[in-house]
Amino acid sequence: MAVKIRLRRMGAKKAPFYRIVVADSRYPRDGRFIEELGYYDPTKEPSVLKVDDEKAKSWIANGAQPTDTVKALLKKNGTI
Amino acid sequence: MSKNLQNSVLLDLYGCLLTDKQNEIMDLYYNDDLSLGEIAAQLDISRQGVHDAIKKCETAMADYEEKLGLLKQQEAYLAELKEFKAQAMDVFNECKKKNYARDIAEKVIVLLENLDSKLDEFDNAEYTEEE
Repeated sequence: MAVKIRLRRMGAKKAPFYRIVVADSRYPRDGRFIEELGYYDPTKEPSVLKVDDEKAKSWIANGAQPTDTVKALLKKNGTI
Repeated sequence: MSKNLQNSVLLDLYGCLLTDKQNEIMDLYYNDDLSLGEIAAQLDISRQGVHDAIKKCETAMADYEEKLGLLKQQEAYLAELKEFKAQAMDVFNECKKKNYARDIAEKVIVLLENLDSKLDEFDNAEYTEEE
C-alpha cells in the first residue's frame, strides 16, 4: 500500500485553503485520509504553513511519500 | 515540473471554459495534488497525455486571464472592500464618541454587516477553526 502525503484543497472559490494529509494513494478522491498533518493557507500575506513536524517526520521515516508540492512546503518550513 | 498553486485559483475562475475532461485532470492535479502518473493510471491515459493536457490548460487559462483579467479584478475588488470597511469603521468609531450620533452608528452597523458578508466570501478561517 502506497501512502502519500499530499495537499487537499478545501475552501470556497474565493478563499483557497489546503490541508496537508496522509492518504492511501489508491483512494485519492473519496475524501478519506489517514491523518491530517497541518494546513497551508496561501491567502495570508505571507502565506501560513502549519504542520506537525514530529508526525510528518515519522510518516516520512515510515515510507510515506510526500508529493513534490508538499516536499517543497516542508523544506521551506524546515521540517525536512 | 513544480505546481504553481495560483493555477488552482485560475481554475476556479476559468475551469468552466475548459472541457469536462480537462477540468477533471486539472482538478486532480491542482486540488487533489495527484502526480501525473497517478492521474494517468486513474483515467487510463498516458502520462504524456496528462502532461500535455495540463500544459495546454495552463496556457489557455493564462490567456483567459490576460484577456479577461477576472483574477486581477477579484483582487482589486477585495482591496476595495477592505478599504470601505476601514472607512466605515472610522465613522463608527467617531459615532461612538457622541450620544447624538446613535442613529448614524446604527446605519453604519448595517453598512458594516453588508461589507462583512462580502468579505466572508474571501475568508477561509472556518477550516483552521475546525481542528
